[in-house]
Amino acid sequence: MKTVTALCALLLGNAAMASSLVLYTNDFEDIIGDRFTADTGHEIEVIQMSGGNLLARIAAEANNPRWDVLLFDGVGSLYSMDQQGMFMRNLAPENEQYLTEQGRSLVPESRAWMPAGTTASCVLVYRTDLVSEPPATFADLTSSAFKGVIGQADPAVAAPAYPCVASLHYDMGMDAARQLYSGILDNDLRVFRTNGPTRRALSAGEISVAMLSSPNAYSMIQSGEPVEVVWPEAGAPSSSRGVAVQASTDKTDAAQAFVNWMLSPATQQFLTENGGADGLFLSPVEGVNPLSYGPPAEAVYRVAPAAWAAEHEAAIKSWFADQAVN
Amino acid sequence: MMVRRFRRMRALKPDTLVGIAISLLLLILVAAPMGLVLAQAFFPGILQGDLAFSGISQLQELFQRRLWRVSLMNSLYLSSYTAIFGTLIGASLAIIRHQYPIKGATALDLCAWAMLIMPSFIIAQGWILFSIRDGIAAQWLGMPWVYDWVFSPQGLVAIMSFKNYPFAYLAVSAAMQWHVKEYQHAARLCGAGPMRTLLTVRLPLLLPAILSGMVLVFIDTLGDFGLPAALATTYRFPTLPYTIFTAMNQSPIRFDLAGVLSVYLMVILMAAVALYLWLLKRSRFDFLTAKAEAGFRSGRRVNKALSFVALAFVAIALGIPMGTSLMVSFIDQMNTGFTPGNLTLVHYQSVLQSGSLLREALGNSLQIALMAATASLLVSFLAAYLLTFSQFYLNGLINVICTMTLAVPGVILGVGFIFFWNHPLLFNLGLSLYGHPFILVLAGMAGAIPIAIRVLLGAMGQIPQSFMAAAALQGVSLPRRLVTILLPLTLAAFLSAGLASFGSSVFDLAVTSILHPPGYAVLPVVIDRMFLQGYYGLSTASTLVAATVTLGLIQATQLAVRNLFKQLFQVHSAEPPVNSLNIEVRHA
Repeated sequence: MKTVTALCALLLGNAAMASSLVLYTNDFEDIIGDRFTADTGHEIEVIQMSGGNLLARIAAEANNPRWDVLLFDGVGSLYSMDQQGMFMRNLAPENEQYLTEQGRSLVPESRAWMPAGTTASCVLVYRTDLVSEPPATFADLTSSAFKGVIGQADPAVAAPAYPCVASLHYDMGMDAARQLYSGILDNDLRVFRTNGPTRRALSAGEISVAMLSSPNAYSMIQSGEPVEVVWPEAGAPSSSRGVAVQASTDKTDAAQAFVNWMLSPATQQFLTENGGADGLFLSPVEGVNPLSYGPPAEAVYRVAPAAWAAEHEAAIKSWFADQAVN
Repeated sequence: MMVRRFRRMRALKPDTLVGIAISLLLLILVAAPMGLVLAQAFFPGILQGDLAFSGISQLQELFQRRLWRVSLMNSLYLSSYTAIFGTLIGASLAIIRHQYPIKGATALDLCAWAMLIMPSFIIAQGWILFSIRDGIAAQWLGMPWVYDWVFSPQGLVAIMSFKNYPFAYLAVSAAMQWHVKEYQHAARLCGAGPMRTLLTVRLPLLLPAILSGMVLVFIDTLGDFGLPAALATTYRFPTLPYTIFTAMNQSPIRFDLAGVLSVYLMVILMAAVALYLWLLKRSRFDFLTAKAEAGFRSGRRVNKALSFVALAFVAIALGIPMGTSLMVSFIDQMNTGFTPGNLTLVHYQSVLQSGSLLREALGNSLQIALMAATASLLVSFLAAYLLTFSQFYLNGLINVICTMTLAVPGVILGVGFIFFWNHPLLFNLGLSLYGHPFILVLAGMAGAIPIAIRVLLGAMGQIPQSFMAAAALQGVSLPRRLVTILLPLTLAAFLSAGLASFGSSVFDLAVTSILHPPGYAVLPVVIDRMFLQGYYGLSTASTLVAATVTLGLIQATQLAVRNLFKQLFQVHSAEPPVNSLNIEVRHA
């Protein structure tokens, strides 16, 4: 009994510091905290979770939010949370002046979040040792040559996979995109839970072509795996990461300092160089040198408008899920 | 006023007092958080104080949407077949282990514990790396057919059975602690052979334990997200937990849909528990008498055929997934294979070095698991006593509540915990535990109680009511009856229940992944992150280190308790007679 009491005391002693800024993120959790504190003097506690769990935790906390700042990949979800009044609006960080044209195009009208980086949510990646005639476009995936060997992350579960499907629907129109996906699904598309298992299946030769996020695709090349990336000429379906402040936070100064810090070229360079695969992103600010083995400089990123992505999310996900069932 | 209330409390029967205390505890721990999730299906605004009823039309969606309909059928298929095969495996192995002298008995125990505490995703990953087209089976063993076998609904049933059989194994093992050999002698005197005696005397008496195990296998399979999600990608086999997960991945999030699907999980769960209770009520199983002995084995010569069966099973169920993980933990580059130049210890060095995240997380998780296991064991013991020996009017409810957390995915339970423990009412009273490590102890208890109580119920089902009633008539108080009669008779089950609670709490990923507080590393979250980032060497090394430490603690506790209470665990041999001590079960 004494042991249990002692353990209780020890555990209670480990309670989190309530005065620190609390960041919810699905990326960069290992490197962001110490650097932010060193640069700004503000203490920060970082909670990392997968995109789905993060959304669930934020929604479940809606009555009594425990987070102050959010770094999240997916503008559709950010828009939706903003519509529910979860974010502080009219952010005006000083470092906004460094935004590139692409970065400025991603700032929402409500100014409820600031862009923090863009990645392709799906590019075509194929095994050079298994595919003799590689696909050039997404439409090529309906060819019988790829029957049973194509893989993709589940848009109903993986955070970057919905922007991929949404972007294709936005660019092609709903009917044409559904026709394309019906063809790919009829070609026995393998739907994996997230990009990680999709990459592993491609690596193991279980599949020979994948619609994979660009960080996964280029880190496979970097690690010497026999794969090539096809970046669609018209641009790859893309996903944008945003940084937002909780509407009722009592740590406004520190939270806004975090947003400003995220837009600093020095921070962006730091995240690029130290983020591993997460560092393979298109920075929204000027003066950042991307990783040499990442996407080409001329690569075009196509992000579906946040409002459109949010409006059609339920319909697209439901349609995809119902079609994907055998 | 206070004095009158106190007198009224004292006038209540001890069973009623215990029943009220356990009911209140379960209400706070399980029913309230889960109730808030289930209520979302009908009262979507309940957390905001809006009690507008949204109708029951959403319940019909299950039969309208193709994904939901298929998910329900897949879940029932998977759970039913896994319950049958998992129980068959678990009960057979337990009987082999405890009825006959075999080589590999310890390996069987370790295998059961390891499978029980291992997170689904590690088991799944081991099987995937073994079975894929360029995996070990196809490339090294020349068995490419393994791919088609594993990645099929039948393969999923087989692997789920290997994963969940320990529920049946431990329940039946615990129930075999006591043995009344006069029953067998009577059967043999009437001309029955050993097999007929086993089938017609021993097995029917073990039915409560077998059914307990079966209900657990069924329900745990029903609520498992990780293994089906990882293995089912090749043939698109969504189950209800996967579909619930997709409902919670929408923006805005659909807690109402998650609530509807959880209602269906609850209905299936309650049907399973009702069937279990109905089967138990049809006969009596309280077969222990004053002549009961602790343990029993037929003969002293090692049975070679059964030893081979036991060891072959361990080699497949544990050897394949964990052996594959072991290999991966020593490999530098996954795609280079298991060659001498590709072997490395760097993953182990990294995770074991001073100040590593794994060491911190393992320490935290062990502390939490110890507290969760101790508390849940106490609650489960009292709840199992109530269900077996008392007529408390809320027994049916206690039975269902004690099992419900097993049937719902951990993420749902986690959301329920946030709803409840983060509610402004509790927060303003200073009672909000959300954001504090202690919430993980409560979540661990909610997850561990279903396992502990089923193991205990199986063992208590064998004890006649008269044992406790006779002591009560002599004026023995309830605490003394529990400690001097019930506890010694169910000590093996008590130990199993406590250790199972401990092991499962250490690795409980789903609920900790959504509840973990800021600045507090916990083991499953750390391992899962390594795994998702593709650091397979680090994640497998971490898993094996953590599993070794956890299993080591479990084995050490088992040895210590068995050594401390030697008499209660003494194993006797049937023939020839040995110097056995008859354990006297005292009738008061």
